[in-house]
Amino acid sequence: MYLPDFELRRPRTVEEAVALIGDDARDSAVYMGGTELLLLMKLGLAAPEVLVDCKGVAGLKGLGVSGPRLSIGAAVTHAAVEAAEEVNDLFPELASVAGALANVRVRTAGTLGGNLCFADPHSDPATLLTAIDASVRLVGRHGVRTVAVADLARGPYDAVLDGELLLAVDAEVPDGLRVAYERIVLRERPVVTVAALHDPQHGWRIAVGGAGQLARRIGEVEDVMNTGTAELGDAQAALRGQLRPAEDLDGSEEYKQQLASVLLGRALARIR
Amino acid sequence: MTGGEAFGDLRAKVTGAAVFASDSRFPGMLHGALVRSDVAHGLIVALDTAEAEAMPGVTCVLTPDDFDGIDPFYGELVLDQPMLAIDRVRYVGEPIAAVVARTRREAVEAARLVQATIEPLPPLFNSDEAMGAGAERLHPNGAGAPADVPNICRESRLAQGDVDAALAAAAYVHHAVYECPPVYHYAMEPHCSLASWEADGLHVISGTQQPFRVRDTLARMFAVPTSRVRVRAPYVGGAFGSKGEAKYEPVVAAMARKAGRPVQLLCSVEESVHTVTRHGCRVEMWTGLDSSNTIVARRSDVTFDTGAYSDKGPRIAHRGAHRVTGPYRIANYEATSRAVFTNTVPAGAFRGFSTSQVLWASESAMDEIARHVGEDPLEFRRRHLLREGEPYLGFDAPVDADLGSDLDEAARLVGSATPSSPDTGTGLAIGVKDGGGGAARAAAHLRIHPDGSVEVHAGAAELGQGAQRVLARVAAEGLGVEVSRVEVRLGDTATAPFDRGTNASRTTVGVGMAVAKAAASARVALKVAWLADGGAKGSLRLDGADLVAGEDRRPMVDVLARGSGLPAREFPGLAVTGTHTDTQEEGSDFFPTLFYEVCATGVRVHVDRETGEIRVEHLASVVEAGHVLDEAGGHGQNVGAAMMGLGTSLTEELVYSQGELINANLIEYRVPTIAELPPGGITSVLVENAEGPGPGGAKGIGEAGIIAVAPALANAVEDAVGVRLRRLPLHPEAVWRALNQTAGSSPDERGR
Repeated sequence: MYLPDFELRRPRTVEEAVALIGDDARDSAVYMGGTELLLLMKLGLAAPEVLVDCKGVAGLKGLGVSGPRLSIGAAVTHAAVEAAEEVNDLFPELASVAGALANVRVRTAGTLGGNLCFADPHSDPATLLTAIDASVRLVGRHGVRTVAVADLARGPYDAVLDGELLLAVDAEVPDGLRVAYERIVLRERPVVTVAALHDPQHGWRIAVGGAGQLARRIGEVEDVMNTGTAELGDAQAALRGQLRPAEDLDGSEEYKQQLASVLLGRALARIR
Repeated sequence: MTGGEAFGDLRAKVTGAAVFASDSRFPGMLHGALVRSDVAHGLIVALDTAEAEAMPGVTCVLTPDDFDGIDPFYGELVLDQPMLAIDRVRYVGEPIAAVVARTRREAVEAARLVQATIEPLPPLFNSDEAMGAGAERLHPNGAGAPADVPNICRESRLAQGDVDAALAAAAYVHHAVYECPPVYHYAMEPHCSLASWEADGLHVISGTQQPFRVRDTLARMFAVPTSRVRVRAPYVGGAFGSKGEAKYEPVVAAMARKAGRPVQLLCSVEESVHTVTRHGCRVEMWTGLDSSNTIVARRSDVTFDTGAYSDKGPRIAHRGAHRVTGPYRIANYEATSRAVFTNTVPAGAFRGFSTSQVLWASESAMDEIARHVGEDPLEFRRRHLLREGEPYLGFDAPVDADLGSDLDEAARLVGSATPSSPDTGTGLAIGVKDGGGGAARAAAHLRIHPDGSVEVHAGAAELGQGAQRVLARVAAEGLGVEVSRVEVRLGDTATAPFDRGTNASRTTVGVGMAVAKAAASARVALKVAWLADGGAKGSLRLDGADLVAGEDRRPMVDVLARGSGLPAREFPGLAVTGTHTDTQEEGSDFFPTLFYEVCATGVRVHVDRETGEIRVEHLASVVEAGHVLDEAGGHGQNVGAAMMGLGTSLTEELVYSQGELINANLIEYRVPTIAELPPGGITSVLVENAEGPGPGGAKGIGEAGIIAVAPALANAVEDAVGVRLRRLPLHPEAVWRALNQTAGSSPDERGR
């Protein structure tokens, strides 16, 4: 109900931020939009001693395109992603996912990078960005490293960050890309999310998220689709065998498998 | 507060200027927090408050040891609920101790340090377990209950004719069970109460629907004269039944008494959910038809899960027996309705007061039966509906509306004849509820000040429903003055006459008539004084501070002061009290209904066969308003009630696991937002036939719009895709499963 006590720090440079985040002596958390972090703190599920507010760190608000590469800085909000011309030109599906995410308050304050670092299985952008093999750049005391979005989470709500700050999200959008993103929302958050991508270079790339599981590519489905002769039903059958969604208030395991199968069918039908 | 402005309280609420209980402060006020049980049923063997008391900022910790001189029990009909559990806890979330501290945060944190040792008893998680042989009794059985079945809080039976014989002789008997889970009101403002013991007695500010009931309860519990208890309900941020009778007022008064300082207790949303819920309910229903497909008999067996304490459960069960049979001509009926104690959050009043739960059964059954006999559900209903003037259930007051035409209008609005696309369907249901809570007794004070401005004091509460606006208009119309000249002050027991409470859609008809009568009395008094003063004959009106008849204009105070001995400049103006009663022969078990709240609901839905999702495309809510006193407010009530009905039908369900509520928050318990308004909108129709008992023939309409939504939806789903759901909410998975079920979805029915 009440936020626990914490110290608020506002670094201006990446170096200052990393020094604070990487200080092993104190439990800290990066504070960007706060749309997930503050909620957890109010519920008593997190109580970092130090909140490192990185909204003022120079160089994190950038959003740019270089050829097929799209790069979105850590401080860029969902609303800014939705509105950015570069995103709408190069990867319009990402703009529309950002524009439909959660609610207007979350979109205005929350950031794309923060969403990925939170590792929520219900994340919309994680599914789409996993499908396109996007990556994130992390900076820590030992320098910068690149991690695939698909590998950013060890498990639900558990990212691999090791005293690190996310600098930017990078995605390469190939020529001839066709994209379909489908989701089902029954209550507050998506139950199941499916992203299907096709381009001549990579063939099919298909990711499924939600249903109690983190977004991941489903190679078995991609293989079926890449044969070029598969029917929708073959792909759906391949998918069902790969999902073990947890039963919760949104529905049973069997129902969520059904939803994933339906969404896959809809996504494939849209771009095939 | 103001009732006279064109937009009433809108500006104050939008700008944050409006004062609610949570905004209220007493000087020197401390803050409270409750310690709550995490055991569903058990004996409190130890309560250690030492650690909490030692925390910085903590003033004291209230426990049952502090009840000297206090009767700790309260309740509406049965005084079985203690303000803090005494020796035994009966639900997870039940208050067991209360911390008072300098700040709310200190109180909340210290409350976590109170150590309760509770020895578990076998818990009763649902009504079947509670009624089982050998189940531990949570309380003594209540009125009408069979002695040999444990945990019956109340049982009522209503019957006419010979149901056994009629069912035995029937050509077809439809038999089905309908269930709905407990849900929560989710008023925007959580429960909040303040108490202060002052030289002139106990002062309470509380977000309550029933300030006078709270006052009288506090006077009894703390053994002080009524004159020394003042309860004020400021703006209340919604209630829907959750803030009736006493809730947290007794414990906050006891906290203030022990602390020797005023205390405010503000509940979190989760705590508010753990205060009172809408009854989960199971209805088993048998309906018999003769060979001409006419209903000849209906038997209903209704079980409400009333939770750990009586609250309003006894009356819910009692009224359920009255409402379950429906507004139809059925020669033989029998309705048995019971409320059953369980180890769950107490259930109580909720907009509709049992009607939504029992209509879910009867209006679903009407469609099922119509389909079975191959008749259009609207026509089938029309053949059985009570006509205007026919007595409800054969003995109650005559029906005061044309129910068939309301259904026709709802059907026309959602376009039942031409489904627009595959898997699209329409559904209808009609809801009838005896309105007004059985008694329209009310009083109001009205003063005309020397400057000609008008002040009304009434005991109703402004819950956001617009009572102030309606009453201001009634006063203004009655006096013939501009509504901007009228100030309506509500919910203060020190200045208003007694009022039973703001519930059962009774304020417009009851308090409204009292205000109208006060205004009429004032006009008579003015006329008498005017004529005694030698004023001109003819129509008299109040114009600013003057009385005017034709060319004759005199200051009102001059006219009134004449002969009083007081100089006009010191004369207080005119004060009158209006009283009203429309109650018929109280005392009988089912007193005659004052007016019927009527709503015909029509919906058009699309069902996604692959996912089971129900998309509500359009909803029409046709409500009998009698006479509309406030156009915007009336439609607001109707649309709001329909929207609330969509929530309680489609997504809302309080889920318990081992007696613990696992979704008492707005992430996991889904209340519809404005984004979920059907794309085709909610069409609100307010029918005016001037047959209500209120001013100008008005009826109360606060509950009408919600009661028929659930069956209309289920009926539309069957129309769209041919499956019948008998459990709320209509979860997409349930729809999908029904669609994929090869057999077993038909009710147990017998034809011959």
